[in-house]
Amino acid sequence: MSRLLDVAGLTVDFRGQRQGWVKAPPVRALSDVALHVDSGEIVGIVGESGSGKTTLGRAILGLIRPTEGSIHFEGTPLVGAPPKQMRAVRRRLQAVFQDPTSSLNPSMTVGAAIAEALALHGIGTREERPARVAALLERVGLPASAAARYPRMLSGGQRQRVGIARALAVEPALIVADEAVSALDVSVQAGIVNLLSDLRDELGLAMLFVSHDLSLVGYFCDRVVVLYLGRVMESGPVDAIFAAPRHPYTRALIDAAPAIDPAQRSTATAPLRGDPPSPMAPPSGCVFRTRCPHAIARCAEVVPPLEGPAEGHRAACIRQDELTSANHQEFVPS
Amino acid sequence: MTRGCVMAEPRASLHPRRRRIDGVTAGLTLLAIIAFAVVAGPWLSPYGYDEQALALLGQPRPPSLSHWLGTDELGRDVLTRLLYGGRISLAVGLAGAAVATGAGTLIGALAGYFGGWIDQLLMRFTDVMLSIPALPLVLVIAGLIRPAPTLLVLLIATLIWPGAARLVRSHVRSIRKLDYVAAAQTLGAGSARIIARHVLPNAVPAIAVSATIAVGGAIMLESALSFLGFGIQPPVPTWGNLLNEAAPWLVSAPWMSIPPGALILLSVVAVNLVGDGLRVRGSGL
Repeated sequence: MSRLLDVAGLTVDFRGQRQGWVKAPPVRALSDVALHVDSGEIVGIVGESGSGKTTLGRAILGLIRPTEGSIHFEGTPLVGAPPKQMRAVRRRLQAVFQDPTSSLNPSMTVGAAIAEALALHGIGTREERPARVAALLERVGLPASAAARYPRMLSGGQRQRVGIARALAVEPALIVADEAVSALDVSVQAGIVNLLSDLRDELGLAMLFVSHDLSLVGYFCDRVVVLYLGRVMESGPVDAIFAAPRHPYTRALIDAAPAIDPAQRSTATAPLRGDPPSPMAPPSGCVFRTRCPHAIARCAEVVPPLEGPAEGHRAACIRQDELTSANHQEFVPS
Repeated sequence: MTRGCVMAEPRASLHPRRRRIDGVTAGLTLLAIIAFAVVAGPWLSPYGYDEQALALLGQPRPPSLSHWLGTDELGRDVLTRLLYGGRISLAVGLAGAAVATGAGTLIGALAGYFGGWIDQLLMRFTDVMLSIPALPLVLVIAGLIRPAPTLLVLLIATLIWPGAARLVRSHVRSIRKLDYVAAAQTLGAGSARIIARHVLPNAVPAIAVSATIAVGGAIMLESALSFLGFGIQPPVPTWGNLLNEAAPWLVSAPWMSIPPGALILLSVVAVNLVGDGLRVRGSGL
């Protein structure tokens, strides 16, 4: 396994809105975020709305300029990369967007949209492209005749398949899927998730799967990064995190996810109350302390470092060791 | 039997479409009639636009069988002058609107797409242009130089483009935020390509609306200038200077003033009908 994507110390500030003559201070959307994706790996990014998960995806795609930090893709630094270098990277790094209605140009046919991707990177000759477009459409489970249609003639699920075909057209190594299924019906979601999963198996495609749906991430991803108010709360292998979350926030998220069997429903912690604090005025120390059931005075003083027992599984909580062992006692009857 | 037909086309039965004439159809029909008249009219007319019937010299004569809309005080056929003048008024109006829409689209697209200081610079410039009172400026310029038709077109365009620029900018700004623009950027498309292929085609309804508004404005402006004597110079007629010539005879010879006034009104109404209809079609269906 080789390292595809390496993000370190990523910080993104959004300029404050000007109100009359007074300029609001910048809003920190992401703060010191680190993550990596190896080839063929699916990494989930989870968090509530406003946690910065979409910003993270957009920064990696080069759509937002980070304030600080570095992004390396296959060893090439992306922050401040010259356009020519960026173009070469674009072929290896693609995106599938949340809303399949707004991610397809309504004035272009499906075939034209996919062919544009091919043309931009000089893949195939003009004569070969219709055949390639047809093959791509069939690859994502659409009839080749869909090429002549406009997006408005397709259903949401079909449009999302077109979006995937467009991303696949340039044969990328990594796809950033930003809430790629959350706008779809549950029954359609399953089809798209299975398609993405097949693509990983067949093409060795790596994915950064941004989602607020924890159960989907648990089913689909190899590793998870949990974001809260622009900071990484916990990251590690899916199995380890779901079996023994080390951060109170992750625990609350897992407990809040609906379980089909009521007997499996955990009652270990009370559900989270309230909304995340405003990113314009984040709490001191640990940003989660205002909603954390285990917060102590020291949580307001230090920003907890991301640390853990194993290199792969780390959490940003100063009480993670005592809480994890306490939970352990709670769960295992003596 | 009819029932079977309805079943075969369920859409037709669910949305019974009554044939309604919308603004676009009505406006275009009206424009086509006016355009046909001004193109064919002078050609069919037995008189030239500056041909004088010496027997009728001295004062305007009322409509008669040989002169359907009468003659003016120089013995010229009013109908021929009216239709010939329409060619110039419409041509100057359309050309002015086309130039204004082109310039407005370009500037609006650049400002809306790039944002930031480019937006600030272009839009403040647009505001400055918009705040210049049109008629005094035109009068000063036209007073300095006798305007040839080309110059008149440019002058009219200069006064009209800021409205188009603002409208296009606001649409481009909202389109720019859509994911298909992000998708094109992710694929490595350059700004020029994104504007041309992804942004502007989806702003066409807005551009069409602003173009029709511009046509109406341009026809009015041309008429106003000619009426004040600063546009196309006599003896070449335009609707505006026909009104000017008719002014002294307003009460005694209304057949000179009413037809050009009515045609200006009709043309502007027709273009605005088209524009409004396009807006409705764009938002409704």
